[in-house]
Amino acid sequence: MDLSFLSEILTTLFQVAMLLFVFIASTRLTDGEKKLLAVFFAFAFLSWLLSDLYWLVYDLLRPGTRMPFAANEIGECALSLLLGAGLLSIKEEKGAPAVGEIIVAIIYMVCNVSLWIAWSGEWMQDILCGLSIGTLLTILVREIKRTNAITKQERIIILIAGFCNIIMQASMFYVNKKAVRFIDLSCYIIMLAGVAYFWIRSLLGLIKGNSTKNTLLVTVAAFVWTILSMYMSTGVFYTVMLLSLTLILPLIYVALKREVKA
Amino acid sequence: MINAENILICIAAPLLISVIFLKGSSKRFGISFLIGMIVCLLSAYIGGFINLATGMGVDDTAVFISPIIEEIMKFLPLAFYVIIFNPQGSNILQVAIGIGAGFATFENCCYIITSGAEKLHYVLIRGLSVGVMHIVCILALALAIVLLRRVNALSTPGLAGGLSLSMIFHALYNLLVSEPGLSSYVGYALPLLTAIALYVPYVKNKKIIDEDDNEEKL
Repeated sequence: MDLSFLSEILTTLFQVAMLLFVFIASTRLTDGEKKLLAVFFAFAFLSWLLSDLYWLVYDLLRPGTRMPFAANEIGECALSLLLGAGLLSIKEEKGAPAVGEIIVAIIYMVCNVSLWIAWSGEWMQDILCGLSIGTLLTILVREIKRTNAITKQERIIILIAGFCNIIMQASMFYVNKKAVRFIDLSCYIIMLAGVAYFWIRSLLGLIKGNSTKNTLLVTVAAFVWTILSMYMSTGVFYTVMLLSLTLILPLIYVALKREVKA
Repeated sequence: MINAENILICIAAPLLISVIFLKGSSKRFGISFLIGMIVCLLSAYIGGFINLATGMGVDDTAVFISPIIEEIMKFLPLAFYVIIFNPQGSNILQVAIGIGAGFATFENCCYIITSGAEKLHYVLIRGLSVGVMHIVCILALALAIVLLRRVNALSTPGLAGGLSLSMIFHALYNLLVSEPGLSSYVGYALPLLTAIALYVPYVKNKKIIDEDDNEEKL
């Protein structure tokens, strides 16, 4: 059995176990005052859990074959929509409008989806997935701008890093093999740096006891950055991103618990 | 190749007549049962069309695309009923079970006519796995709708979430039984085990459903 295949299976199994724990734990929060938020997040975790199980079964039953459009894609779409709905259910705070940020977020998602289509040629699932993650991203950037959960300077750095990554990924279609290797590595450095930044930022938010809503927003931002990076990764880097995504789960849960009980 | 429309007419005609003479919850169940059978036929049409349009092949369409179509088709009449009539929680469950049972019954009838009913163990597997699976999927969806409505979260993402859960569960079953061996046995057992597991949240949420009913009466 291929080592990367085995590591992917094991990482997915670990994620399934983590999701099961997080799902069961979050259902216990649905009796609180902010039960709407907890219900949406619990549904999102369950949707993610079933999608992962589907992946796992597919990988084991039909290894080495590319999965056609299937129900787990809908589950992944629902996951983003449910997280977005959960964030929207938190009482709105007054703040500056975030029209510019939302437009940039939409452009960013369009670039991502274009890349996915160029790589896989699967129009329907890529557009569907892009629409749902795009919805979550626009909700997220609006709320982050309103609450200033991530400072303006940090937002600009993330924006530059994100678009640099997109441009470099796209440039790989036009350069020679030697350059591809260098650019590819640079892209992974940017993506992994982003994952590390969001993970540390989320952890610090939880340790320092920052505003509960802000911490939840940062953890969800970490989820979005990591999942988008995962879709751009292959081989061992894919497994690393998958593992990072799993490690973000407990952070999301703790942030959710604090927000629900705040 | 079977004439599914003729089978539907044959099964639906006595049911349709009996529904006219029924009242209350029996009538509701009868109508939803009929709708379930019609929805099953429509799903088969759409599945056949997608198979021809995409060239995926009968097996791949059945494993990957059918769960999506079938769950959407079962969900549509239920969503219509919930949104238009704003019914009590127990009525939502009753209609959902009716649609699921009608769907499963018609699908099983077509299966038996195609493959024969000589071997009892095949028929038992068919009845206890696919039959139960359709009911489990829509029952879980209906429970999710009642729960979401209870916390004022019956929105598009909420419904999409509930629908996606039933779709993935159905797809997981289809994927498991698509390959022979251990996976197919797990697949066959999955609906029945889930039905037993669902009984716990059903009993737990019975209080919520009853409260929902009482609120409606007030």
